[in-house]
Amino acid sequence: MSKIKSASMRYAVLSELFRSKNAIIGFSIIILVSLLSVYAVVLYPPSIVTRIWSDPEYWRDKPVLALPEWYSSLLGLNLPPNIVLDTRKQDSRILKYTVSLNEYTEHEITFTFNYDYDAFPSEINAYVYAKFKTNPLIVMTFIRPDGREINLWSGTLTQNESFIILSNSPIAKKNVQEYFFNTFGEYISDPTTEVILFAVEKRGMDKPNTAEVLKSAGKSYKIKIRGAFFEKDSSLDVKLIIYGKIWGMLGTDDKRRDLLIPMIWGAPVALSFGISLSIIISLLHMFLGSISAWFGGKVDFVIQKITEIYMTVPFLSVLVMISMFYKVSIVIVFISVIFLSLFGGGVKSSRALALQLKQQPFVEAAKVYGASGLRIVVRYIIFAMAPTLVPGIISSIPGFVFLEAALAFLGLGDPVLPTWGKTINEANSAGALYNFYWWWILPPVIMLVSISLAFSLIGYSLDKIVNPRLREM
Amino acid sequence: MRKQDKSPSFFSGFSKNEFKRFLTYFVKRLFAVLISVTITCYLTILIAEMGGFVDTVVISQLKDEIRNMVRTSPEYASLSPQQQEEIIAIKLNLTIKERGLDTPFYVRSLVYLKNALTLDLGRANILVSDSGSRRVQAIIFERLPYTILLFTTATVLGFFINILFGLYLARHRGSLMDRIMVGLTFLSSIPGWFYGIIFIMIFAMYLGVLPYGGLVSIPPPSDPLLYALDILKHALLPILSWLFSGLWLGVYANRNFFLIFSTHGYVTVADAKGLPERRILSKYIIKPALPTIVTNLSLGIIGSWMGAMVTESVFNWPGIGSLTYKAINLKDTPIIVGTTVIYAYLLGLTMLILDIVYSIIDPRIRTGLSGGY
Repeated sequence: MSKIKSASMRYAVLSELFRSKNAIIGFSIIILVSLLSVYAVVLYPPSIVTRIWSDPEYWRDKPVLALPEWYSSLLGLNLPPNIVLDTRKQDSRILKYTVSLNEYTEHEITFTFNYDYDAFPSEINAYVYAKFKTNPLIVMTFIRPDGREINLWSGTLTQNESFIILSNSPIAKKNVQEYFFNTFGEYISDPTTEVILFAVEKRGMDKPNTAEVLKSAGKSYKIKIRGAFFEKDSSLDVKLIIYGKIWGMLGTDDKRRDLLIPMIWGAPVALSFGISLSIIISLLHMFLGSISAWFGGKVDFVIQKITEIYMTVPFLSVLVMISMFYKVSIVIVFISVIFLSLFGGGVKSSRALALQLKQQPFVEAAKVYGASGLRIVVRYIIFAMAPTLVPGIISSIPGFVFLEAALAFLGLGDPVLPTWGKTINEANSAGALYNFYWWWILPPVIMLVSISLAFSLIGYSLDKIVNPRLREM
Repeated sequence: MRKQDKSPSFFSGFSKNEFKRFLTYFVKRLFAVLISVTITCYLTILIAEMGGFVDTVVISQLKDEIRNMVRTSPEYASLSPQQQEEIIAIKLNLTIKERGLDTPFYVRSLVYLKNALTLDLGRANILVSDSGSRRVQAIIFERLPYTILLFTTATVLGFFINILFGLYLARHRGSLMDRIMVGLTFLSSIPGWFYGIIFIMIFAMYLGVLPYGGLVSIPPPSDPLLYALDILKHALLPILSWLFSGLWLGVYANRNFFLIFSTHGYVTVADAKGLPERRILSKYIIKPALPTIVTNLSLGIIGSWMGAMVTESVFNWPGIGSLTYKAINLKDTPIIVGTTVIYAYLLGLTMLILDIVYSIIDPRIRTGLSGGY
């Protein structure tokens, strides 16, 4: 009988909850974020994400601080994406031939490409894959549509696979300085190579804000790579990347990493951290409060005194100390938070509730049939208390989500997992706020705000239904 | 006439008996707070010592002191550097024995506890105070006033705004304003430091009307009045973000609380008698609610000490919060341990002051009736 009644009551509460607009908004956000979490875990399993996230080599092909792709069309500008030219793939823009004479082989590769974008590229780098026994000589030359030739790089290869920095290499900078000096008779101390290479030849072409992009318009840019090898059995393959200004759905950070990953990976971390901490801590508070109320006397005194002492423990400071001294993962932070909030304010409110429940007939009945104190606390008091405390549990979830974010902001986040808080910390330390890197800092901020608003919307709606006294007011 | 006799003002003098009770209460609370602070300090030492940090810090500091002493003393000047090193090693061993640093941990930890409680917090590894001192105590005390300035202002301001607004809503229940405020309670689920980031994005990054952070502009204005205004300008966003985060829930809680008190019979009677609104509010609603309000204020201030750490880091406000942030980045462990001890003292002190206020406004404590807390 009572089971049916409680089931129908639960149904009534839920149906009323779904009539509240706030609760529906809250639930929709949480469902979306949950789907995002599932997507994140399926797309990038934890073992993969922790490996690639801190591996700079994995991100070498992505542009630094690139804007989201959609932003280009939003601005009405044609911003450059990455241009990748790879001799190992079929491509009409690549011309490759080999001349050999006795023991000498020369490989020549010509990349021909158009550049009709409204902004300069951000960088030029190349991967060189070569087969040789004696170190070969390589020369890379940049040929502009107006016929100017600038030497980008020259040197000997020592490894079969090497990553060569081109536009930021000292050789390229020196050659660009020379070109600029020969043309305008001026010396620039630290030239922005990729700007001068792609700018219309005129005064001011060395500064990004005064330079004008030299669009290919029919004539094209060329990069010529010549390799001198000293044996017959040799090969040369090059993957050249002209880095753009846009990448992916959310752009990249200063370490070239795709910002979509922390955005979606923050969801499972925040959800699991917030929900489980809030439930575990609330249950522990209920348990301690009920024990305090039920047993009274010395037990009550000790629990109350410990609660008072706990109030003077500087929670965040101690947590910072633990995180700093033990170089901890999110799991240890989780356990520390539980221990540090064991005797929090929740113990006092649970105790007050339990003192009332202690007088209820069903508790008296349990006592009469001989139930032990612990059984009464767990089976009757906590069970009776829980429903009224559910709204509070839900509303306290954002607090824990932001606790993780706060620790991450202070630089004490999980060392391997990308989270929202960590992204905000990294963006902030890289000066994202001063430099207007909005695509870096805005998504995690929006995610944190929406998830916390969602939980508190549900919490307050539920509170109104479960505690009808509030509704009257 | 009689009525006035029976309702003494909050701060009317104590009788002799009441004063005695107040004193016992005060001593009791002082004792309790001291025990709390001691336990927190010991906990801090335990956590730090488990990583072996306190020992390293203390011994390296001793070594420094002894080395300085030996190098500068004319007594040892004629010795070769090697001999000096030997003397340093011998002296170090002696001092370690003398200070009891070679004893088992439970004895040693008591020595450390004494140091922590007397605020002898050692020397920082990297950070230096503006006056050039390496002493953790000096570094922290130099920054403490800024933290107190910012967060006490914010908390006290928030406290009064929340009470007045809550009271207004309680008296105008169901009005449009009331419904809006109640509907927006969820905005308080975002902490102050996070509103800080959002406000920086809006006011500094997008609109460019307020500074990103810091204490004063660079270079600071020389006129003292302008200097004060400049500090105010820099303090505006941190205070605003702190107030904004607390406002909604604070007003809601106060409103509900005052509503509960307004439904008491004596308020209805006072209303029916036609007493003026001001009098009803102050005598019949606020006064009985005062003890709870003060408890909330104490919780608010304690919360603000903790929130200070992150908010100051966001705004680069030169208080102990951003000191902690710097120390984390520089791995300056003595500073971290020091700030934890100082925070424990601050929390204890806040509790004690509020206990005194509490005992003044809650007559039950003075008259010896049970209650209070």
